[in-house]
Amino acid sequence: MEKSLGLATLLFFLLLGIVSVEDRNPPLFCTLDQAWEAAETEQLIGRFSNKDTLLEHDLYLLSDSAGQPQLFYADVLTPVCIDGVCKPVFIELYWDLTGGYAGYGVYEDKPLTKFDHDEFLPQDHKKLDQLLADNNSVLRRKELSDLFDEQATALKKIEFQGEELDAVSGATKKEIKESIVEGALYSCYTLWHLIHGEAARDIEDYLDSIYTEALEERFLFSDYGPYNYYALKAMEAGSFSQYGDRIATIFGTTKPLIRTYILKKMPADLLRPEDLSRQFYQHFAAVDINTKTLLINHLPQAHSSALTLLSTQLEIMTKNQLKTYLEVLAANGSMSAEIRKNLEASAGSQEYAYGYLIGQWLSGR
Amino acid sequence: MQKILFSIICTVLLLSGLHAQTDILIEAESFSDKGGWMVDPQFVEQMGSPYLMAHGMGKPVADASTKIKIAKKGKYKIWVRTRNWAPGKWDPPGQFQVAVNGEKLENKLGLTPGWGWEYAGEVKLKSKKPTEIALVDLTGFNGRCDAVYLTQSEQEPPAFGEELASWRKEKLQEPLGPETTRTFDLVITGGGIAGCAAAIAAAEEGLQVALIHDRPVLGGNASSEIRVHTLGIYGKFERILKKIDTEHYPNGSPEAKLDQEKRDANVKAYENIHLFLNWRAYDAKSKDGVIQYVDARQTATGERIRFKAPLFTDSTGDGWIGYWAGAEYTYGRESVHKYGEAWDEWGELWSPEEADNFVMGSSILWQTRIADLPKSFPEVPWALPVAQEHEATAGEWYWEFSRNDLHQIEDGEEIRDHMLKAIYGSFSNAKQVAGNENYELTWVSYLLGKRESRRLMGDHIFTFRDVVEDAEFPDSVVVETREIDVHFQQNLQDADKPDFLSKALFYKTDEYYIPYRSLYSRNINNLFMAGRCFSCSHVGLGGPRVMRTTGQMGAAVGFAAALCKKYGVNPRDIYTDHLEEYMKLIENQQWKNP
Repeated sequence: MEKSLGLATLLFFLLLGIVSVEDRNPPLFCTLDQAWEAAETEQLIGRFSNKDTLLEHDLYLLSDSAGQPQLFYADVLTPVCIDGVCKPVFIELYWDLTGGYAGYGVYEDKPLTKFDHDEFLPQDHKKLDQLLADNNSVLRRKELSDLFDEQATALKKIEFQGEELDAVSGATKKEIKESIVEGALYSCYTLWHLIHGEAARDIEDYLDSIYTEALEERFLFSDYGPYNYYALKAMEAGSFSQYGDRIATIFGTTKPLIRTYILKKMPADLLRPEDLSRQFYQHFAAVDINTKTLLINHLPQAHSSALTLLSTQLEIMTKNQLKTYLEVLAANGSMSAEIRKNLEASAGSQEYAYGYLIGQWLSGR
Repeated sequence: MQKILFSIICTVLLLSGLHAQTDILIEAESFSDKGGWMVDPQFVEQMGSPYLMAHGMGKPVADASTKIKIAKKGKYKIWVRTRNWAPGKWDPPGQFQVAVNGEKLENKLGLTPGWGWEYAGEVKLKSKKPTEIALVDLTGFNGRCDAVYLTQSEQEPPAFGEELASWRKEKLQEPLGPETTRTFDLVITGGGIAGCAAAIAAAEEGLQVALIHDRPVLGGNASSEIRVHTLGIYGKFERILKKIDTEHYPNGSPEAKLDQEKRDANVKAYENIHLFLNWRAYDAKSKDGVIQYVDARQTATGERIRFKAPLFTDSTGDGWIGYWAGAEYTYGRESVHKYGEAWDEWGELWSPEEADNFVMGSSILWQTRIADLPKSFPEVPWALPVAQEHEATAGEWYWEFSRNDLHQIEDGEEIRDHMLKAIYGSFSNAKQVAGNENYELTWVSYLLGKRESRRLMGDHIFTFRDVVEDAEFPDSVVVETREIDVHFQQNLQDADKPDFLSKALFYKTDEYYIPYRSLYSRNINNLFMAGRCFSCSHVGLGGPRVMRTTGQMGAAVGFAAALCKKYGVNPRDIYTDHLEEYMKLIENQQWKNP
């Protein structure tokens, strides 16, 4: 019975094109290494092309033993050509489930080489990883032919009225030089466009087709920022209160773009309960300046304890942030003795550039 | 040009016995010898007046001085309106003193945060002899002086707001309106590339044009004072735009000076362009949706002129004329849903779900050189909270600053000062690195190169959708192929990045078009706009904000103004009643010989 059930399962997976991953080659870099470890099956989900080589490559979804999607993967053999001379590049590429770059691997017997045939050194791999992780690389809007011209013109000094000035002839060339592995421009170009080209868009579309509430919850509770962001974007603002604690935790640890997104999207009354309000406002001192502004702007909707909490943080506010805080305070009517005490202390502080504004405000009351 | 010093006005009035005043207010920008101090008129609307600034890049500048005569001898207290522009736990960077007849007064100035009066000291003055007042810079790091006030009273002058403004008017004996009125066919405010192109186009069609510009040289962001190179294509207006554009040198390059000479000479060659350099508009009044006049003030002498015309163009960049006249305008980033401007690849960075005011920032460009010998650079502790660990010996377009609590117009001075701290601090850090001993700052602009501010609303609001959908219009007067290019601050993605560096997102496009209907106000009947204050969304501005494109807008407006004059109509009527003739006029520009 057990045997026939196992056979049926195997047949089912085969029908779906899901097969076990064997003889796995560990990637050199993988931002989601646990996902890679967990991956046990692969499923061909489509093919993507490279506009420069016109070659097509298979794109696989890697899943764990429970069928949970983990990573997207492609085993790529592509020519890298310049002036009609081509060489093969063998590389394994990984994407996260949102289509973002997750890492790459190379085969021991097929190392990446530069155009002088030297093998990539560890620092070259590190630089390639950084380049591939930059989805807004300067390579993004370059054609291969542009690069050839760019490299032909070396960085030059600018002369004006007989004086040599330290300037580069266009930021772009400098940016290209700084971002690529020296001697491997065309490999860098080709790989960057493989990672951030058609495959990434196909993955985004595929994710839409498999996105469920369960996956949303998995994304939200993941330690991986892009998954948090995806879940927050996909989620209705009305659902924020259901996950208030988790969102507050993300808020405390994530990058400014996601923090500001959370604050802008959250329903006005989310910060009304004292506990949740505290969970957000306790990060005030640590968060970036733009997030601070939004936290101050949210004060009218937040629990009143947030006003008191921020009265201890006046001296890290910018001028306009302080003005907004004082406006909220004025609109609030009465002021606690504790807030007044804190205001007076900051007004008299020699350390705080805008203490005089607090002094003016207090004297105007 | 006739110069009127307020001090002289006061003196004449005093000597004639009309007023037995025992006080004199001297506007710093009216000093007869400005020495190495610069007139900075960028923030008049916020702090009340142009001011003098000691922009010496760390080397004290030469004294500014002026002479006055007082009516009554005796002891005078001297107050100076100034500020400490980088308050904190260090010596204020912009310190200076006042010297009277060569004797420095006891108090150093530039010490208190926020614009206000600081007490310089007391002097004994004789009434017969002229008194020389001088500003003595102590640091070379952007000390600033708005005004000097001599009084026998014990009372400190009002510090800010309406009280200060009316006190100022009273002290300067300023009449309610400008002393002079001039009338033209077209009054253009703002002598950037768009304003210049508008002036040339209109002048070539025979209009008498006033071009009001608050700097001594034309070109705005492309001028040798800001040094951004022009980008974009010429469209139908190559002949005109080649007179005023720039080569593709690196941003900040002194090569800008050559293009400056070309531009100034070419615009001045038109006899019917009446150029008002160093004049800053400060008001525009409309009645029943029609602008009656624009008032402007000479930035140094304070002289005023009322400019009247049937047609006005706002090329101020900040949309000031429209703002004063009551034109509908917008500021900030619209919600992605408002005009359907999503680009999924970049989401919030491109266009946010919720509207906000996180607009593209302003830049300050700068330049260094490698000298033959080591060059010292002063310590700048006040700059390091901004620069932090960042090291740099050159700047570029991505030295850009925007923050969601700052308004690109209302907080312009803070934005400029933040960039100065970024530059001085990063350069100071770089100077500590072995091998950089010979680096020397040769030029740092003190003028903000703004990308985005107010956008006046026209009959058509140009958006990203017009680009994505390849929209062509019956009134397509501007054509562009350059990418749509929207900037964001690097520290949004990575909190460890300096807050003064940006990144660009580029949306590649084929040709796209801007209709004429985006170049006139939808509720002020005789107002054109050309330049970054044209009618567009935040993302819509991303592409056409570059200066050959804004130049195309200017030229299109200039030709429209000519037809308005021919038929005695307003801008909208050109679209509704004279479009065929207008489009033919524009089309024909490309066949005209240089």
